[in-house]
Amino acid sequence: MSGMRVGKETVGRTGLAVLATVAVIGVLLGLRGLHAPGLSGLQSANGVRTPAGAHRPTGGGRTRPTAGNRGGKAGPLLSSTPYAQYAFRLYPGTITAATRQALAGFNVSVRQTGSQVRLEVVIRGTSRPPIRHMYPNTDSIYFIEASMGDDPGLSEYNFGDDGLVVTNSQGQIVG
Amino acid sequence: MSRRVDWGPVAARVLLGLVFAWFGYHELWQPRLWTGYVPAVSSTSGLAVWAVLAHGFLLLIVAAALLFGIAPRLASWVGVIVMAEVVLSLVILHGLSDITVRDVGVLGLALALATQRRHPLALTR
Repeated sequence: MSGMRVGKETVGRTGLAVLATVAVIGVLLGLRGLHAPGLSGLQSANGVRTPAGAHRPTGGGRTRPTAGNRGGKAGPLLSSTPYAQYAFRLYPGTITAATRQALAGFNVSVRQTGSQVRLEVVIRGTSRPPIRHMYPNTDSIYFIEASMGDDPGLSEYNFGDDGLVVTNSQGQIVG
Repeated sequence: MSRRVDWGPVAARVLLGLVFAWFGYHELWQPRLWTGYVPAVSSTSGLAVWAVLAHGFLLLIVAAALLFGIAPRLASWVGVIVMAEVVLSLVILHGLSDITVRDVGVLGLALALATQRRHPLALTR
């Protein structure tokens, strides 16, 4: 058998076998990806707004407690998740140059008021309402930017890889 | 007797294949991180996730075809269509930027390979 003609090219048995193998790998990867969690916290940037202070699902399917409605158990250590390498700290401390770069497309303000911290995230260039949250001042707040490659200049092309993660004083994810 | 292989097109084909493989793999592995690129669909919708998965799957197949030299011209033409769609949607939605211009370069590479008459080291068996 000489193989299959595709236009002026020929695809033989070996070629078909390679493509079939890669297709199977692709399906398996896709099945895994279908159930892989995304990042939460900024999904409202794409049109689905969650009221400030409401429970929201996080990357691991946990809820997002804010001050006053924190409940349930703390999640895993942020440092044990794959997102740790993409986490840029917003609070406590000052915002570094790297964090500012990761925040392309967003205006973020963090203000401490008594025993709480008020976080406000504004998505630049949109009329969407700001995302606001209150957290205990013992928490740490991180901005997640999985890829800088979608941030030309001060813009943000893809909000899907951006998120907010909050950890307690032990570094466990609480929202 | 030795035959000289024209390495330029082979290197171009393999490198373009690696680019597609990288994006295809990541789109399949973590589709929800890519849904922001799907035009005209809410990034939180299931449709956006399926669109990314389909895109990633196509990229992976095209990548394999380019890397192994399986119908490389056809694979390159599919690459041209994919990159043209990427560039157009980025320009329409966001305007010109460093990312868009970089993708124009990838589109040019795919176009050069698609119009290449001879593809050395292609797998025809």
